Amino acid sequence: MAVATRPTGTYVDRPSPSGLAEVVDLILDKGLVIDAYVRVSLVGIEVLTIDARIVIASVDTYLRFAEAVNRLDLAAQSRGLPDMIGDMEEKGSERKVKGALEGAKESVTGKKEEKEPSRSR
Amino acid sequence: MTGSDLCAVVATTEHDVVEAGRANLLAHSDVLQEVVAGRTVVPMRFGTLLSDDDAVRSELLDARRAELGPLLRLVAGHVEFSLKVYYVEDVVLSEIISTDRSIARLRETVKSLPDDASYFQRIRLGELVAGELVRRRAADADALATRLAPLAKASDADDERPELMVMKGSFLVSRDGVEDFRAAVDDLATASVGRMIFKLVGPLPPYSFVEFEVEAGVVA
Repeated sequence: MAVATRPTGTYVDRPSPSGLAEVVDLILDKGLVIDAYVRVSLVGIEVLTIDARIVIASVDTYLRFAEAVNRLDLAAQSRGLPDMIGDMEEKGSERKVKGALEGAKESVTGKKEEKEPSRSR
Repeated sequence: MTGSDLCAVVATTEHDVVEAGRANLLAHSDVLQEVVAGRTVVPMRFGTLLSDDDAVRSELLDARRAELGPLLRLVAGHVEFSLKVYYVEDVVLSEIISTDRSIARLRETVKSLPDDASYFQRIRLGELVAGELVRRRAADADALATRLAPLAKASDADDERPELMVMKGSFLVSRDGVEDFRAAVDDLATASVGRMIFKLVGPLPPYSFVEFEVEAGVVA
């Protein structure tokens, strides 16, 4: 997956649309829907939800923020940009598509949202 | 396959559900990317299944002509860009600690206590930080939208997103306007370097702009 190596002097990370991680939320949640015809199965759960769908504020989220501000060394803000991007990816703002369920659980800070974009019928 | 002046791109399956596995999702995405490179396309929801070609013609293309026509016209000559902007966590948290006194004080209190004595304070601290993040990102997201919305025919932003995600937006951009749009995103990213990370995906087929009930224009 692309990291901001700035080939053309841009600070924008531009992953390819052919990478599944970048479009899976659009594919599953968007597009023209005629409910009667949508028949999706998540059998095997090969694909996990990516970042932004799960946003229920919870104790876990608050504890994580508390931990983050506590370990923050206010004097040390001199890390380079590539490091920051690597950390952002690790911290669960975005996840690549993996076969495992662990990634999905990591990006869930609380209960899963009730409204699932895909459903089997 | 075609039904008079509208046509549909279909794949055939023997199953009666579509498994949301990697292969099927990639196939869906790849076909749409290929089609949108050269022509106007309305993406159907992944897993839309009809019984056969005739059903597609009669139940979809003919029966829904009144809705499909306007959607095709809306997106003709346009592509979608998905923009996700994130805070650099340590930077924005440092900003918050240094500007918000009650948060700074509570942080000091928590640091002075062992973990098992500070459980409720830590929750409160985290809650205050989360609240402050949501406030700050509203202003930052607004500034981004103000700059980018004029470069798009329509835009859509998700309100639901993690606290550290400043913006999750989709933009319907004319093919001719793509370079200007990209340049504007570049400018914004440069101006925010070290504080925000920008991730731009596109050109995409117009996934986010093809709901039946949605009108053209900015969707909150």
